[in-house]
Amino acid sequence: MGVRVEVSSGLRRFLDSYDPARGLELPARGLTPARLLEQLGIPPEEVALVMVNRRPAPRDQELEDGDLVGVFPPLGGG
Amino acid sequence: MHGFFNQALMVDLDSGTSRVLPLEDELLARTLGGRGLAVHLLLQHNPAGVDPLSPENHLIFITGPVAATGIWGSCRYGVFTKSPQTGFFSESYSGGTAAEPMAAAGFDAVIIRGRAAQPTWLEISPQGASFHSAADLWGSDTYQAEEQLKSWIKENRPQAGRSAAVVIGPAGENQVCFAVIENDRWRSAGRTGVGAVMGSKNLKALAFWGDVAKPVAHPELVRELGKEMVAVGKEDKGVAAYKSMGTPMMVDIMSHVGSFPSRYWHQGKSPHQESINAAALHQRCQVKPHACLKCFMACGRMSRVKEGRHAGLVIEGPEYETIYAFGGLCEVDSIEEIAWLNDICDRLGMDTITAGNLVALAMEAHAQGKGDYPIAYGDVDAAARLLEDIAARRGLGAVLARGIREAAAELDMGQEAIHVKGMEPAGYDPRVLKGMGLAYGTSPRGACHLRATFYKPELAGMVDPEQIEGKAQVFVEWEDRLCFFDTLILCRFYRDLYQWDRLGRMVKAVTGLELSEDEMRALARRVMDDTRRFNLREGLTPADDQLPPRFYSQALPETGKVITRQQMDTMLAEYYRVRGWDEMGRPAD
Repeated sequence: MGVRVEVSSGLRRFLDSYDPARGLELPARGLTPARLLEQLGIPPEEVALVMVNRRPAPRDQELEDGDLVGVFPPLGGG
Repeated sequence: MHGFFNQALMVDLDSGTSRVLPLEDELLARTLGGRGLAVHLLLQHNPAGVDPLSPENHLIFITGPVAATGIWGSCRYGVFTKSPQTGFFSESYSGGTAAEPMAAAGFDAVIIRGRAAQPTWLEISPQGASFHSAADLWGSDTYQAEEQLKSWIKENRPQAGRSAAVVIGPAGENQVCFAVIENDRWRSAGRTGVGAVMGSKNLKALAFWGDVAKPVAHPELVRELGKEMVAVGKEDKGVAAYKSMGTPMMVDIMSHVGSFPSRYWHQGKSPHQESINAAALHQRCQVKPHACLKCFMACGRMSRVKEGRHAGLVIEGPEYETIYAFGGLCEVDSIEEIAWLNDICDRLGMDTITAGNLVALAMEAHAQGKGDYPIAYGDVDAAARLLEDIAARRGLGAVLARGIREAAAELDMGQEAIHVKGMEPAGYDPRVLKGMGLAYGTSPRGACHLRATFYKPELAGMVDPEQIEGKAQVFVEWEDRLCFFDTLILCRFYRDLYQWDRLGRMVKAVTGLELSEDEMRALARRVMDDTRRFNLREGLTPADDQLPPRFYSQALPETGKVITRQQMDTMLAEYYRVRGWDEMGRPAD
């Protein structure tokens, strides 16, 4: 069990392949949101919000096995 | 005063007469027009406890001081009355292009009372009000009615220049309690049933034209602020997000946090997310960003369905809220089908949020074996038929047309029904975003997401969604500033760009008044207090500020979250305290 990552549709253009039903799974060891973006090749300036376990999280937070990460572009509102 | 025409037009549909009501500088400075002026007028002119669908209920159209100036985000008007949906204060705002011709007629407000003996439409111009028969408009949908009126003005009033028509559809004529008023086809004063009040007055439409210029105090400061905002807008990522994805961008994040209301509030995430989100809209439809007048944000989506049974359907939308209501709550699994239901609601003149909630309530009743109306979750054709039935008040539609409180009682769904004060929430589940619980509870018009747009700070990490203590303090900050937006009648989506300092500069540029931040906050607080006084006069008690019981007891399956009654009570007590109200939620006399 690693870190499960959901990438918002507005950022999937940076990924080679992405299955929305499954998301991505990455090993947690040494991973932070900042490193995660680097590994995935998503430019950090395109990302406005990273959520860990459904709450906004700093880019240097150490991730743990079982964490759910969401990656979002800038949001306006509804 | 600059920014105002210093006059309202009082229209009496009983007698078919109108007169000018002068608006003194002192009143305008105290209220800054918009919502502040509306509350004042309703407290003054509406009899306490009036039946919202009776002739004595006043219906007020207002353009704010910034309308028809160079201020960005200013092309909006407000409609104010006592709501037939909630029985409390009603405010509803609409964008598009209508506010500028409305203002050009030269009145800050048009105040309507009475009931016309026959279907009528009103022509509002600098000369005042003219009364016309709407016999040939009655029964027409909103698109036809607006088009027909605009053609009439063009043909018969060659001097008019730009004109606007605001209309109701069959739902408004039939006094469906969540009927809207529409302009520019797809722009609606959408919530609280203002269209039903128009229908109750036998008033199909208002057309506005004129050439009265809006006098501003410092034209050079208006220009300077305008230029500055263009530069700021170019760099702002939120603006770029609105322009590229529109409000449907919210589907992904709301689903991720488990706060995207689905299957009539039984789930926080839809299994169909990928076929109803912004990406699906932009893949399945040809989409162009579309802006109201005086807007560089262009959050609107002008969408044309590319393929399938609705190929060629053109609509400005669907917006996030419509997607949540039909795609989430009703489990309609295709963005094109949601666009179609959106089109039906727009033509009939009904609020999509409430319509989607009521259709989903009927679906849930069917799933529980209650009632005999066959409508399964996801059955889009049955949903379309039910929408038509609501507008025509046929069968179950006649029950739903009376609103959720009566409908839930009749369907034996009283414990299931999700609403506050009779109005259903928007697409933010408060079991996850706790501050939205406070928003839904305390909004004067029922479970409204817009009075403070508190989902924004809760999602963006500015305040923890789980925080309870101290939340009301942050909430009131947002609510006060956006209440100030409603006095000026500014678009919500400029909320990140217009903080207090720019609002102060805007007020000075337009009206000449130099207000400090404290004075602007105090003005907003007075408007909030007066709105509360109006609602208390209409019988509001603290129980009306509570959430529906399911939010307190029924956990969302994805996250296990509820908002407890104790959490809500804590936030409410703090909210009353921060507002300076007593423990019963009453402002001081």
